[in-house]
Amino acid sequence: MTFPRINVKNTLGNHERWGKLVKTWSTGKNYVRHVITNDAPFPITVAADPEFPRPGSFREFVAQAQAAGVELFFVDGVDNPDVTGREDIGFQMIEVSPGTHCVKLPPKDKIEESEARLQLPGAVYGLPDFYRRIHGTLPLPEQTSSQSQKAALHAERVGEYTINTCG
Amino acid sequence: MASHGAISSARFRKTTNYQPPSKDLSEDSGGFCHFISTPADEQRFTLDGVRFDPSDPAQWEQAEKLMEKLAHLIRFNPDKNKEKPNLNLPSGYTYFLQIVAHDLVHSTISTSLGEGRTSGLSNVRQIPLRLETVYGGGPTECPHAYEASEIAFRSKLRLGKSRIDATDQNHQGPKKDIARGTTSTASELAEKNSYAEALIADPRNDSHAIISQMLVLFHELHNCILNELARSGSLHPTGNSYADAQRLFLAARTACILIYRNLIRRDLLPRILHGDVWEAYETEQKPFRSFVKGEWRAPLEFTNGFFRFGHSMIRQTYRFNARAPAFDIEQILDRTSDKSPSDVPLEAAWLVDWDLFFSSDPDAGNVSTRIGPWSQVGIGEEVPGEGNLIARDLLSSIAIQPWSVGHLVDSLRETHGRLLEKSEFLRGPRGSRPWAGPIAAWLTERLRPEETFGEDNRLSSEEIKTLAHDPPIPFFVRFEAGLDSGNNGERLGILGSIVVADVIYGVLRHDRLLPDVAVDGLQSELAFLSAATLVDAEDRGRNIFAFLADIEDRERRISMRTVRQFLHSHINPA
Repeated sequence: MTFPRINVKNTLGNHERWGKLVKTWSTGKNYVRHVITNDAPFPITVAADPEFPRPGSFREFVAQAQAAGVELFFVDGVDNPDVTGREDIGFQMIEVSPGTHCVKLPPKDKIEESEARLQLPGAVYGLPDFYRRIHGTLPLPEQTSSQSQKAALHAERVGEYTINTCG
Repeated sequence: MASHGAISSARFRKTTNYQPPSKDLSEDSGGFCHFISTPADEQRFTLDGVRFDPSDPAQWEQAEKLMEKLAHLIRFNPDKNKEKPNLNLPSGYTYFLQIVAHDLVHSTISTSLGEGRTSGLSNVRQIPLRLETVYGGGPTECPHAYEASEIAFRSKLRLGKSRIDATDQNHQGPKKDIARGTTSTASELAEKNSYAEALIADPRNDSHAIISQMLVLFHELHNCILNELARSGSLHPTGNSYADAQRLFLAARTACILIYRNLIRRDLLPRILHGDVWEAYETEQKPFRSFVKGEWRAPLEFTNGFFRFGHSMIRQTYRFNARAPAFDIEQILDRTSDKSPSDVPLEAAWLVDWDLFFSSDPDAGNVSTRIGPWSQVGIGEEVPGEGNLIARDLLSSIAIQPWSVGHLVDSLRETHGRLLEKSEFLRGPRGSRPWAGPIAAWLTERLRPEETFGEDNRLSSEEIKTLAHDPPIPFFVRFEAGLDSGNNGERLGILGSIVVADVIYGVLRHDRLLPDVAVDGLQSELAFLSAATLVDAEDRGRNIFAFLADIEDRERRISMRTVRQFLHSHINPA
């Protein structure tokens, strides 16, 4: 059985919690529980018994996301249901060595699914809410409304997150 | 959606100066009271068996942590019921409930993180369930919500043109949005569209795109009735056009309120209330008095506790009409004049087809989530650090130092004993806490290692005991609705039903629109209103509201569907 693409919900703080969890898995430092301040923007110590070890299964992956307060959902475009961790989904976490350039290609059907959805009337290309915080505005309708604008933005975003993988 | 108050609780906490906590909220807070009567100190909500004092920083901190854990559990509870559709409550009722909430309460501050600083908390909604949330104080007090007229008196509610699509800057769509204004100059508008001002009586009715569309429905109903009255010439001109317009307005508004109250009583309440409670209040059960010297007081346990059950009905996505994709709740919350002034007026994809919101067919429409201790959505923080909607509801409910569920049930045993005996969570002698065992067992079950909540959010056995003994009201109302046998989350449980029924029937019974005469049903009420409206004695045999006969179905039952069909046939006649 195939499942729709998984994404983090676009609610205030959710992307930050997700990013902190990823950094925790990567470094072993507990970013999730670290409170960011100007004096201590990042955690320093690596816990011997980490609260968030790298997950070994899909269920564990979702469990840790929930424990970190991250809301995950399936982008099915209809109900966008919660990811519960009980789904029969395989899991693979890939760590790329500094000497390797990794390009993780988005699946063809996921790209085509997004393109089809973007062409529906009223469909918008959603950007994470933190862009609004940074730029002080929602995506400008005059830049994101027409079919050509949405197509260009889709290409830009796919390109951006495929190259910006920290990998 | 998140708040029925005007100021965010977190901002309130940060900006207010410290004031001693109210010892007795019912005496200090205008427009509010406690349910039944003010509870004694020992009857109020406790934490670890100690009366909860929100002004105590240590207790507040403990409460915040506990409520956050409970909110986390509710949010991520993987109960299968949360994916099951509630065929009894199509999603239109979720937002009709929100209109009703706005029509009962408009508080000056919200309390979820007020740390007991309740000074200034007041309910400015003093004429409940009279559609003040739609009409405001009327055309002279609230002219921006009314259509400008050649006659000085504005009798019609304002509507605005929608847009065909996102690129339509001339607003060429039908008049199906609320009116939205701008202070931009022509050159500023040419550069960037911005319609930041919702021209409506209650700004909360533009807190998301579904509620603003529901407001359109009420504006249409009023205008439709007014147009029919004017077209029929039923009200003879007096020679004073201002007085004539005012008379038309008053007649249409009163008819609208009668229809609205019948919708609440005949359509909404039978759906949300437990059947036995509904039947009791329709027959012999008398509501407590919530009017003091003629002034309405909103019971805090209702406003900040039991009536929050509507938040559990929210879906993650909604289909607005057949042509548009489903929209996420986050997108819907953003589609307002305040948050997205450049994305309004609403475009065609955002215009609600109410058939999708009042259909019980989950394949055809938006059926609500079952009521229970689970949630499809968190509804994010309005302010960083404030917590999600579930946490805010829980904190807000205890900040007002409410009745504890146990003492409330004990108080109701005399007046509502027969109803309480019908619930496995409530039946028992005075002083018993029959829900404590099931709640403790349920919470413990949710915390098994194979469940997915994480150590940091895991409730301790002491915390489970605390919550089971004295559950916060928004949790209890979800729990009994979802888990008491027979409800299946399709409607409220017994206690939730009693409190909600008591408050709403209390208003309907004690705040009469018509003189206290025996009238049976909407058509009789409208006929009585007609007679009261017509000045000339010889006219009194006529019913100027006869055209409203088909706002009910053939069995003279009114529902949101019949109102919708009435509007459809009168606004878009074949």
